[in-house]
Amino acid sequence: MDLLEKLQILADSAKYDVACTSSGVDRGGVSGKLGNTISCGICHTFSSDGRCVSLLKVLMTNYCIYNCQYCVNRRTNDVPRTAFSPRELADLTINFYKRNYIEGLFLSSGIIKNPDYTCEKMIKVLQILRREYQFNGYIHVKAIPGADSALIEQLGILADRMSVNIELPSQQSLRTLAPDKSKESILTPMKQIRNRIYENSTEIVKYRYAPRFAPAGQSTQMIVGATPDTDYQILHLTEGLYKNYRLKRVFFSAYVPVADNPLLPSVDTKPPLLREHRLYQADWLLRFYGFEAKELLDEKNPNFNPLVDPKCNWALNHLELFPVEINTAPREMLLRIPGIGVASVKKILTARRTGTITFEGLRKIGAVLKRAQYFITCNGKLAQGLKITQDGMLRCLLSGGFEHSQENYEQLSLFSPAQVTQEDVRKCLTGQM
Amino acid sequence: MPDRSNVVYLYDGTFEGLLCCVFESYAAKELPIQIYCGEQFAPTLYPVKLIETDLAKARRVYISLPKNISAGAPEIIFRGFLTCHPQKELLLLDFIRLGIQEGSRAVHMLTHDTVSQLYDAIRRLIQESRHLMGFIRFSVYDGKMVSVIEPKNCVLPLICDHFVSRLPEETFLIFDKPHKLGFFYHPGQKQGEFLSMDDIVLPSPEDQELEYRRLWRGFFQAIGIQERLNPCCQRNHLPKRFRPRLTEFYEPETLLPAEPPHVLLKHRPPQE
Repeated sequence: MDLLEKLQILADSAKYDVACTSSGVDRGGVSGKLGNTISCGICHTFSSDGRCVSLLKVLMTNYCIYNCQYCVNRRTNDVPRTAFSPRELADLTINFYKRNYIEGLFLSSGIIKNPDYTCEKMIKVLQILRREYQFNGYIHVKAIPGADSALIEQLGILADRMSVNIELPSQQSLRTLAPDKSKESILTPMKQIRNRIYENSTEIVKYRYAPRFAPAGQSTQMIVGATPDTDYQILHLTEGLYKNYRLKRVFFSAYVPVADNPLLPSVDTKPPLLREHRLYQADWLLRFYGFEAKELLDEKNPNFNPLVDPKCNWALNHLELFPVEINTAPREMLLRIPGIGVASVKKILTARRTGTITFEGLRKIGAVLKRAQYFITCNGKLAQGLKITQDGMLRCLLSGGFEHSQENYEQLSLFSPAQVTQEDVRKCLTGQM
Repeated sequence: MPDRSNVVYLYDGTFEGLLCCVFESYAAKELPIQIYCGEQFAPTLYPVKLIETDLAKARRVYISLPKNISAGAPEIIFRGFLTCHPQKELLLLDFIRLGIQEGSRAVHMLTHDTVSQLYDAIRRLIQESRHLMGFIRFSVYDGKMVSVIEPKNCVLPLICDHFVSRLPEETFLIFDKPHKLGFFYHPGQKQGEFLSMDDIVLPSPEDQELEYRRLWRGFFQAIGIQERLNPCCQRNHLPKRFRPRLTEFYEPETLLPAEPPHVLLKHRPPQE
């Protein structure tokens, strides 16, 4: 098989993996080696679905012994199968990297023979890259659930970031859709990675040249919309993963129907992109805005409001805390104003050191006031000319795409067929027309 | 601060030249109504003052910046100089005057007109440099790598360190076409060097190069999920002005090596 065809098959099989970030570790270049990493990550291009492409995201092979119902690479699916040889993949990575197409490699794999064998194959690629080609760029590798802990250890030393996919948000869903995987088999490597990262952080204090274990941390992803789990369950799980497993990121992937199966949504359903978007918004609120999952959702309201974003929804339910005075409010409260983000808060804090901020000043800083204007005062004053009408507020607070859903606009035409009304008929009959 | 005087400064377009304009503005106690660099200059009715670039004067101004404003001020001003703001010279002069008047507070006065305009221009510069760190594409010619970029702002000084760190063992050249500036590095040099160059003529790419371009294009096509197609989101993140220089958006005919004719024939309609 020609290399292009192979690459396309294995990239196509890997495309449902969401994570393509090259972030989390700063490592300068070293003479004699190739590459560096930057902690904010670099996007090298954006695919037709608008997602960042930062790493060469491929599977080692798409042969798989498992039969997970939601996966394109399941054993019973009839798709072309192929595999990279370690040398082939390493050469491809180096040549793409030099031309600045990518920031590094994202390596995952279907399970051939058994998890250990698969893991060894992946280690081989990373060894060629790191030892033989002196590759110093970013490597994200999937830990294979069920592989021996010594192999996971080796992977962690060679890679920057590791991830284990949690796949589905509840044990029950996992049992029905992925009978070969269990909660334990997924959580065991996750725990091991967490513990090793912690141990490593003490090692590098003691020994300067101790090898770093997965310096960019670990991440995971789960599929949204393939099972009846609620947003509340998902967000709660996410929060738990951040707290208990010290994950850097939890990714959500809207389920794209790949199989006709009575256990799954039908093939015609569209991926729940808005739901995925709301979950990411909430995920940001957890990580950067000091929110907790229980503030955003609870058992009574287990799903996000599709019309307004989670922060705005929270604010509307806590109107007693508003309006917030921009010039005196603490950082934590500024972060909770709808429409004001981390960057704007930072600028507000800087600017108010030198003088009071007015609405005009806020605009100059670059804060977007469309939603925020309803929740803030500047120097004790509300925004000038702000009319609080139900209609106007709704239009500003609803997120994009829903603004016009209430009214039906239409292009008027001189020549459209006139509607004959009852009145016209009556006029005709009485001779008025 | 003096009112705007009816005078136009004309300088040579270098950073040192701009610092000399600042010097002149203080020495003559006047605020020019416009500062032009040599290229932009259009005849005007205002009296024109030609500002000679004097390195000693420029140095005096530069040294005074951290003392009179703040330690970070020289960097802000240099970055402001790299932006594509149409009146960056006047903006920087106003900023320096504000800084000397207000001291270190000036860099925090985000609601001030001058400061907010300058910071906005710098934000765009930094955003573009972040974009280009990812969107530069090198082509390999006989083991040496060349990339041509067309940025709005002069981003090369901001991104060159990243590429020196990334490719310490490679020889490479990045050419900024609109600003006619090149950056050349070869291993053994500690830092690369900037070159002033008009244009570059590249040889036709080798077979191996074409093969990798083809592979990258193939990968790029395979990685998008058809069911989630979102060209609007793609355009927001990757504006169309970058695309002519991106390998994955080339027209296929400029990309493909000459293929044997039977492959092409396969796609033709059957002949009668």
